[in-house]
Amino acid sequence: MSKVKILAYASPIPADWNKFREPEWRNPNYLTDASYKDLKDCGITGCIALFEREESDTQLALGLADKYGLEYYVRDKINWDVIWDHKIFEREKERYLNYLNHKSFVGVFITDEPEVDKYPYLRAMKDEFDKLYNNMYNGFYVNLLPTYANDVTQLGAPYPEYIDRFIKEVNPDHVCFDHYPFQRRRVKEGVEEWYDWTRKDFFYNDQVVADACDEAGKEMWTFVQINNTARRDKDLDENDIRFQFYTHLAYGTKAIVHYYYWSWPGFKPGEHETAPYKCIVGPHGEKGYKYYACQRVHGEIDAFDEKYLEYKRKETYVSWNNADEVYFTGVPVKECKEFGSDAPILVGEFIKDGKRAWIIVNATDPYEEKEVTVESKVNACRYYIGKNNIYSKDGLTITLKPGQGMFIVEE
Amino acid sequence: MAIKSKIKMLAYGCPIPRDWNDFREPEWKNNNYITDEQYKYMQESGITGCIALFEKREEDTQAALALAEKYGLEYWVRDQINWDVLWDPTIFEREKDRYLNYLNFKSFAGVFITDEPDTSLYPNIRALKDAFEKVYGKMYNGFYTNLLPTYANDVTQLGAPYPEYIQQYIDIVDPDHISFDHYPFEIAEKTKGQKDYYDITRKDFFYNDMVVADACDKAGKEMWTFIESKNYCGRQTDIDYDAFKFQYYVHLAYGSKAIIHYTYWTWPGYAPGDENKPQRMAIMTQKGEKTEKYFYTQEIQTNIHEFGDIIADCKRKETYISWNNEEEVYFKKVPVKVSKNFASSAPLLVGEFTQPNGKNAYVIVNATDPYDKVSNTVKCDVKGTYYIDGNKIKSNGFEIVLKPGQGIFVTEE
Repeated sequence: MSKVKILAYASPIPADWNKFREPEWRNPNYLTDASYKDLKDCGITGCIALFEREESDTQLALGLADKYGLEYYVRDKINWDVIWDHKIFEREKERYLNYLNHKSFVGVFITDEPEVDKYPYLRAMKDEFDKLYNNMYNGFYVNLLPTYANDVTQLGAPYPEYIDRFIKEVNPDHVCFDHYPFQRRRVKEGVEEWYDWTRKDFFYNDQVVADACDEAGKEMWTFVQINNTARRDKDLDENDIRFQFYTHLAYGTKAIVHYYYWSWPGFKPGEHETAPYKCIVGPHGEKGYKYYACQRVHGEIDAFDEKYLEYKRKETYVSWNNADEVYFTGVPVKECKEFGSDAPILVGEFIKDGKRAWIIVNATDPYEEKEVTVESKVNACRYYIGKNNIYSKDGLTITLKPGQGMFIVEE
Repeated sequence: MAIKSKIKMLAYGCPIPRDWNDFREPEWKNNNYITDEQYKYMQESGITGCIALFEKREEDTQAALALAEKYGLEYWVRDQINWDVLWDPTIFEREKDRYLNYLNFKSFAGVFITDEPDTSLYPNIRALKDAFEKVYGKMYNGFYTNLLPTYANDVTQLGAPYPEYIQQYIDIVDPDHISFDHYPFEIAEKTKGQKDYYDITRKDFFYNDMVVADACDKAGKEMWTFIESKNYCGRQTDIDYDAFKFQYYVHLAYGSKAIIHYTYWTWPGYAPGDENKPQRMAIMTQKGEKTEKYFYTQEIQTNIHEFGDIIADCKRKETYISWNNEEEVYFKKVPVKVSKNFASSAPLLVGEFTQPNGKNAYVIVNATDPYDKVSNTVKCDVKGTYYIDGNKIKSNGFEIVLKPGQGIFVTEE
C-alpha cells in the first residue's frame, strides 16, 4: 500500500534546542507523546528532523515516530552542510546502524540547497550511505534550490542543468526542491512599498523537475509553503495551502514537505509568537487555523492517494485558449478536450493500463479568489472532490473554489 | 464582512463578561471576554448571532450589542431580569426606556425570555409576549423562548405528552418560532443504579424534530433547533466532527431555520474538576481559546451558508427514513419507506422540499448512528445541483459515498 508522503520539516523541538549555539537558550521539551499524536492526527506521515542535535533527542523522536507509525529522517549532531566528509558514515557506523532499530528510521537528512559544486561531495557521501544502509530507497535526503535562486551565486548553473546534473552526478532516488510561491514585491524599484505577489514560475519549477524526474525514473518531492516568510500583508490561508498540494500532485509529486510544521523559535526573533509566522503548530505546539486547514487537505489526499500512485504522469499543462491570459507562465498552454472551463485550469494527465486519470486544479492565482466552473465531458469516472468519492456515468459540472483541485479516474 | 444567510447559526452562551458570576458568588473572578477579538472569532466561525446568557449587567449587554453590531451579528438580550423567576409582564412597561434603548443597536434581535417552561407557564409566557409586543411591536422572532425535548418527563417537566406540549405552546403563546433543545449524545447505565456508564445516541432524535417540524409547518411557524456542541454529560467519546455535522443536516432535513449551539462558550463551573479536559470543552474554552470544535463548526457552517438562502426559501413536504426494513433503522418513531430518488446501502434520512419555482429540493443524511462509523453509498437520481461539503456540482445524478454524519443538499433542475 503506497501513500503520498506528507512530511513535517521541523518536527517537534527538543528541550533547549538552541543551547549548542546560545548556552542561555531555554525552551520546554516538545518531543512528547502529545506532540507526535498531533502530528499523526493532522495526517502527517513522516518527519524531517532539523532541531534534534543530541543523540538522546534523536532516539526519543524515533521512538515516538515508531509509536505513531511515522517515518523519520534523522538530522543529528553531524552538520553535513559544513563537514562534507563522507568518511563519517564509516567512522560513526555504530551510531548510524543503531537507528535501524527503529521502524520509523527511513534515512538521513544530508543537506539543504546545495550548489552544483557540492554534487561530487554529495555523490561520495551517497556511496558511503548506500554501503552502510544497503541502498536504502529514498534514505539519502537532500533538498535542492528553486527556480528563483540565482544562477551564479546559488545554483552554479541554469536551473534545468542544476536539476539534471544532480540526477546524473548524485544519482538520487528522488529530487526534492523548495519553491515558496507566496511572496511580496516592491511597487517600484528602490521604493520601500510592497504588495503581496504570487510567483508566476511556480508551475514552471514543478515542470522542470517533474520532466527530469520522469525521464530519469526518479521521484519528485515538493515543498508546501505554510508560513508567511515574506511578511505579506495577507497570511497564507487554506486555499493557498490546498493550491500548492494539488499543483504538485498534477505534476506527479510523491512527497509533500511542509515548510514548516513547527514554528521555529528564533526564526523571526520577537515575531515568531505572532500570527504571520505561525506554521502548522505554534512555537509551543498549539494547534490553530493552519493545523485544521492542513488536516482537511491531508484528509482529502488520503482519500485517493493510493489510487493516484498507481498511475504514471503523461503530461501537465494549463488548459485555456489564450496563453497571454494565463497567470502562471513558462508552461504549455492548450485546450483540454475532456474538461472545459470558464477560466484557466491546470490539467495533469496520468495513465495506467490504457485508463486515464487526471488532477485538475483551479489555475488562477488563489490570492485573487476566483472560482472556476469545470465541465467534465468524460463518461464513467470517479471523482475525488474534497473528501468525497463520487461516481458518475455521465460528465458533471463542478465549481472549483480558489486553490481547489480534484482527482478523477476513468473506470 | 457579516454573513448574509437565512439560516441562523446562533451561539448560546456567547463570550462572558468579567466576573460574570459575582452576583451569586461575590468572590468570583474572571477576565472580560466581551472583546473585539472574541466577537470577530464568532463571526469568522460562521455564527450569525448570539443568545445571551451571562450578560446580567446593563453595561455588559450594551458592550455585547455594540460588538455584535460591528460584526453583523444578531443578539438576543438576557439582562438583569430573570424572567424565569419573575413572570411579570409589567416589567416591559416599567423598564420601557431601557428596553427601547436596545433598539439603538442594529444587532438587537430580541429578548431571551425563558428556558424549558412547562405547560402551566404558557399563560404567563403569553402575557409576557403581549407586553413585549406593546414595547417592540411585532418584532419577528424577537420573543425567544426555548422548549424541552421529547425525553423530558411528561408529568414533572412537560406537563403534557410531548406533541401536546408543543401544540399547546403554539395555541396559547402564538410564537413566531419554536425552539427546543434535544441533546442526542448521552450516557446510559449498563446496570441500573451502578453508575457504570456507556455512551449512547438517543433513538428519538429524529422523532423530536418530526413532532416539532410537523406542528410548525401546520401552524406556519419556524422551527429552531439546538446542536449539542459540548460533552456536557461526561461521555467517554467527545462530540466529534461526524456527530457535529450529523446534527446540522438532520435539523435541515426537517426544515430548521436556526441552529443553536449548546454551548458556544465553555461555561465556567459547568464541569467542576474537568475544566481543563479537552473532551469537556465547548467551541471556545473558558478562557476564550478556540478548541478543535471551533474549526469543525467553522467548516460545517461555512458550507451550509453557501446554500442557506436557497434552502430557507424552500417549503418542507415530508421527511422520512429511506430503507426497506423498519426493524433495521436505528432512529425510531419516524416514517420509514423507500425513496424513489435515492437508493442507499444503509438507512438514509430524506427531507423533501418544494422550491419557490415548484421544483423539488432534498436534504439527504446518512441515517446511521454517527458513532457506528458506517459509510452509506447513495445512488442519486435527481438532475440538478448538489451542495456537498462546500462543493457545488451540477449533474444528472451520480453515486456518492456519504460518510458517517454526512448530509447533502440537492435542488432539482
